[in-house]
Amino acid sequence: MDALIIKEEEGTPKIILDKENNKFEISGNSLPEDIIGFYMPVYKWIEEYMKDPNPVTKIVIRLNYFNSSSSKVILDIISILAELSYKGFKVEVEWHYLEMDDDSLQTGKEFQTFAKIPFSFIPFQDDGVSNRFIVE
Amino acid sequence: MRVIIRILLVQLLLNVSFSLLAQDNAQSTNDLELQVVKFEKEGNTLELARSEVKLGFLYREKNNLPKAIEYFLKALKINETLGNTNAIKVISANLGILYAESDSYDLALIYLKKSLALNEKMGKRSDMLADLVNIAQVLQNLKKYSESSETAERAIAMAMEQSDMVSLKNCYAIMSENYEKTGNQAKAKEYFELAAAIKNRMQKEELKKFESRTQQAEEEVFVKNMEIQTKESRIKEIRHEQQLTLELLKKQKELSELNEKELKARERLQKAERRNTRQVILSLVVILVLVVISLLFIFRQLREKKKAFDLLEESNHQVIKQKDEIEKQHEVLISQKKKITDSIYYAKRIQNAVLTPASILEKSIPENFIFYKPRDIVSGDFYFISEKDDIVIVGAADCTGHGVPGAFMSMLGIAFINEIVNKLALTNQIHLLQANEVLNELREKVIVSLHQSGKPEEPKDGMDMALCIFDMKNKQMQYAGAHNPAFIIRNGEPMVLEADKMSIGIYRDTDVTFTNQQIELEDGDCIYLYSDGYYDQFGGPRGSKMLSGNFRRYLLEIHTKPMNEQRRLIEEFYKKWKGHNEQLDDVMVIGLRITA
Repeated sequence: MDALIIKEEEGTPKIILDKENNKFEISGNSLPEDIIGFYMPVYKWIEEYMKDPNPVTKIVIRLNYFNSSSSKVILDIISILAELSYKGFKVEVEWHYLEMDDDSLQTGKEFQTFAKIPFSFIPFQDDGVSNRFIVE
Repeated sequence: MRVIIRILLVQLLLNVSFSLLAQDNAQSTNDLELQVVKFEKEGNTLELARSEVKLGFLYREKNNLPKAIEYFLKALKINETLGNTNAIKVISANLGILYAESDSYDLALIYLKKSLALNEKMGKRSDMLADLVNIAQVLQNLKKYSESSETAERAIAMAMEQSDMVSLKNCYAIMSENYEKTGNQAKAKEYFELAAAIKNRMQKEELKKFESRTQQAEEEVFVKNMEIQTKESRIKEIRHEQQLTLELLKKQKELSELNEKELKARERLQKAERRNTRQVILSLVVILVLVVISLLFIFRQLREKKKAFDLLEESNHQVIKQKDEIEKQHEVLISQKKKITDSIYYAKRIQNAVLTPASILEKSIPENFIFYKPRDIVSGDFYFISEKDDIVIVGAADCTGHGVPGAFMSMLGIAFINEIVNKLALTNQIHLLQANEVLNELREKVIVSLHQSGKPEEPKDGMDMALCIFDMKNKQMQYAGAHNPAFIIRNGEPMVLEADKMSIGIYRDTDVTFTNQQIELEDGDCIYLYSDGYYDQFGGPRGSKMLSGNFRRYLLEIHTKPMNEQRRLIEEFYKKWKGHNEQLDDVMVIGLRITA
């Protein structure tokens, strides 16, 4: 199946869903104006993928900023993928959080208790560049 | 072979929370010492600790170790009372280094071990490694060789795990010297060679990096050369065109000369007419043919020029037409935007009208403030205030989305809470109201009214909320929360009532009820409710998130000030943090102080 690749733009994250290369990633900032419109292709892709998944699926979540609606969508995506673990496939989440951002770490842990699949938590350094939302 | 290592000091970098505190570095020790006196007088402990840390670093730079130690010790004491673990471990590590530099190895050991223990607790593996290397070195200076080797071995394991070549090399060097001091020359040599091997490898890597940089530079030169060549060939083209024009001018000049010659020839012809008629006719024919060819040539040139001119004119015309169209569209856009903005401004009046003014709390909780700052014109954040028979209800909610969609949700929320509260108020049963029951009922109403069924790709609209119900007669407070906590400061001590990890709206576990928490109120208690917009804002010196910890620390710092002053400070702190960054979400902070 074709890979779904969405370039990062201001307010929307970079998305890589690539079955062939076994690469699954959501990274950047997520605060789209039309949340369902933006994530609909992702839902569609995952629905297709669930029919014939790879033996191991590791999704990397690396978000600097995500608003509350995005947080719900991310949990949804993780929950859908987690269903694969009942069918004998391996599903893992690599949760990257800004070092010191306890709120993001807590959200990840909360999702882990809901999804009941292995999570690894990886702090990343604040590079001070990817976070900028300059209006001028 | 002798290995001589002076004190290896692995300098710890200040982490984010610290660099945050240590702004404006360019202060002299005199200025800072004046500040210390000032902050001490004001009892501003947080600022005092900041200035003392800055002084510690400045004195260390100036190589005045006793002074540096003195200030770090003071800062440590303050941070210990504040319970600021991060600062405690950084300061301890620096104290360890400073004591080691002053040859007070016993004291150095105490502080390095303290830092190690904290780093271990916080899981900071790379900082732990730095501490271990320093401890191993200090132990060696104390001639405790076997203990030093044990620590170094622990550090070696960690260094390998983190692929930290520098620390690994340092540890091998320490091991080597320990063995040499205890007379085991064979082992000493073995470790010396290990250290040398790493050093060698690091040098080779440096060389490789240098070579790849050189190659890159060569490639850049190659690309530049290609660009120059392209430009040169373009210049040649232009020159060629100029040449052609020049030739054309030359031909025209030749033609006019030919015309002159023709006249002269005719004169001569008339004279020679009788002498040689046949030759004259021949000459005339030749000249005529030449003239015709030249004329044809000129005519063709003229025709082509006119064609090019026509083409240019037409494209010019089209550009003007397009420009007009764009201008028209722009006007349409501006008028559409104005209509939309006007209508949203009107919606804002409606939203403001449904938000109860805080003035109704004048009797029950007169000391209060509301800082309400929508990202767009209308807001997805809203608050709810109601008062009846000594029962005061204050809620702070944050709907998914912001702007118009957020505002739609907020109207729904306010209407439902009113309905839930009024049902009991009208039958004089307001004292039976349970905070968690309000949230349970609200969640049910939101799910039913939005027809949410829990399908994955349907919108998960809803709201997060902190709700407090105050019983002013019995001095009690109930709290229930959906994701949003209540932050309370009592006698200068912070206290957080944690929220349930559930939303109001379709989410997980919609059949699990919210938790009700109850506390006895004391006079002077400060209660803060807020949405995540404030502390999720990006900004500050590094364009990073403010984070809830920093926000709460700031509230702790200002909570004794009058409430309207707090509101002003909170707005100022937010604006300063945000700087030139865009406001990312709606912002709302509510503060209440219980008075006798």
